[in-house]
Amino acid sequence: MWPPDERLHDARERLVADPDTGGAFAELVLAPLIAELAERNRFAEDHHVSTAAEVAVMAVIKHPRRYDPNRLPLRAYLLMIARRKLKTAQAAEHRHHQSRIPWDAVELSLPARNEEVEGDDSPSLDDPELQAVIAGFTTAERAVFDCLLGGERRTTTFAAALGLADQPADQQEADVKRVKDRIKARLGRARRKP
Amino acid sequence: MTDAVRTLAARAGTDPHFLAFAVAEYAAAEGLDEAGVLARLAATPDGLASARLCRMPRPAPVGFNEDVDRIAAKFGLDRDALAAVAKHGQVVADLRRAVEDQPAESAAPVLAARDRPE
Repeated sequence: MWPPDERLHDARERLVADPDTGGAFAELVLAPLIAELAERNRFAEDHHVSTAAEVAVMAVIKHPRRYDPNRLPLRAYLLMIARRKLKTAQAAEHRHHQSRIPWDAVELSLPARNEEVEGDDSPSLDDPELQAVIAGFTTAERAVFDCLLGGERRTTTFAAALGLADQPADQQEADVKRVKDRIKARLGRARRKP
Repeated sequence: MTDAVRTLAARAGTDPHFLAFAVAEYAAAEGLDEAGVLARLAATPDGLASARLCRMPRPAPVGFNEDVDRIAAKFGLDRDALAAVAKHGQVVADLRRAVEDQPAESAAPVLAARDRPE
């Protein structure tokens, strides 16, 4: 729970006047910032959320004058910095996964054949065709795709990603399967293109 | 003080803007763990966390003693130990800045000499 804006304003004013009040400022804003950031980014890793919040708080402690109270509330300013840091961290991790997650993780079956030629079937998500398909995903499809990449298998997680958490279990299962099938089909078609 | 704030205070140890940097560098140089740092500075965990998030004291002679006195008094740290920590941190920060500011050309002869066959 965020403290009232007046209290945040006073804490920031103290920070400007007294560089020894960083600890008190962090004590006031860090917990609510982590909580709100986590609430708004339910699928983000906990350590990414806490790190992003820490970086945002340190930025304000370090440069309290960069915040202009006439432009937006301090709470919003902290969230803005933290969200930017979180997105950067997630993008970096996504790039890391793109180059490391094996094709099996997206549950696409390879074409049946009897002979494997070593090295000829190691599809990469860096493939331009796949990249184009991925870029065309809707927000919901992208959330499901990220879950697949992360090796997620629980229907409830996919349902939450699709905003179906309040639906009955059988409805969740059907809708999740439909989206997963659609994603796999589109990726599969892209991959089969010569 | 929450664990999250203590974690943040420790994280500040990578940034020479914060006193936490001096604490981290001093602890590494002296081989001190967290308990050792607390003992050396005669600090409580909360006092140390708050001190870590203070701005690094200004360099001597301008304001160093004033800043160290104020921080030590405010957060209950041993004044002389804090002065030693802060001085150490400032020396390390200065050295790092000097290395980073070194023009690339000045490193080239060293690299060339190393590349020469024996």
